[in-house]
Amino acid sequence: MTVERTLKVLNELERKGLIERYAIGGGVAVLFYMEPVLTYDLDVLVFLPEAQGGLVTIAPIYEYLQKRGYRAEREHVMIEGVPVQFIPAYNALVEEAVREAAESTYQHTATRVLRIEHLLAIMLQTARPKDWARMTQVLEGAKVDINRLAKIAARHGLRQKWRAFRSKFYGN
Amino acid sequence: MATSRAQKRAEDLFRAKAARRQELSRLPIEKKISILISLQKMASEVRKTVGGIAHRPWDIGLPEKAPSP
Repeated sequence: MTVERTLKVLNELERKGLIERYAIGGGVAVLFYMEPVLTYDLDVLVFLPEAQGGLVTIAPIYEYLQKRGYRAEREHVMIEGVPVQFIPAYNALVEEAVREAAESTYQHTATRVLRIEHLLAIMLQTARPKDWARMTQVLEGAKVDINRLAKIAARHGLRQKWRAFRSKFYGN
Repeated sequence: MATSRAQKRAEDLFRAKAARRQELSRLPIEKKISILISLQKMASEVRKTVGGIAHRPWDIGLPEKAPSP
């Protein structure tokens, strides 16, 4: 079992049309930009195809994966030894983040990863204490285009939160 | 005098830590995943020691290798 095989399965889901588009988010996406930090889930943000009657559901992904022998465990599916959580793009910010995700490669397999500025904007929007803690880590450890982040924040109604965050942690 | 020496020592240590973090952030993602799994194993052991609920480390073969150039 390898992470590369996990990513191959995600690509297969996209090829087969069970997912329209995916991008890695959460802590694993952060790893692409800064030093390793502890995380357990592989969060996969997805655009789902519309089923008959306009219903958007994640169930076909689970059914397909179960047929392939990957078992669901609470909110995850264990794919090649990695707990994967599928998260449908749930608002305009996340949709934009998935649409504009960066193409990347893991070993010899293509994948997609949210851009660091979108990851930060999502943390800013979610705004749990752990998100703010991680934001400070990312801002100190990764190369971030602050102008780009500020524009994303403004576009998605997060200007106030961005200002509050800066004021609290950086005094500006 | 002793305080200022201690302060200088602490500043040097913080600088070295920051440099090490920069170095780690430039590693290939495959190497970072290997480190992540080591972190997961360490955290799991610590949690077990204190009687907490331990997350299971990823069950993948290691080391994850970056492709050769």
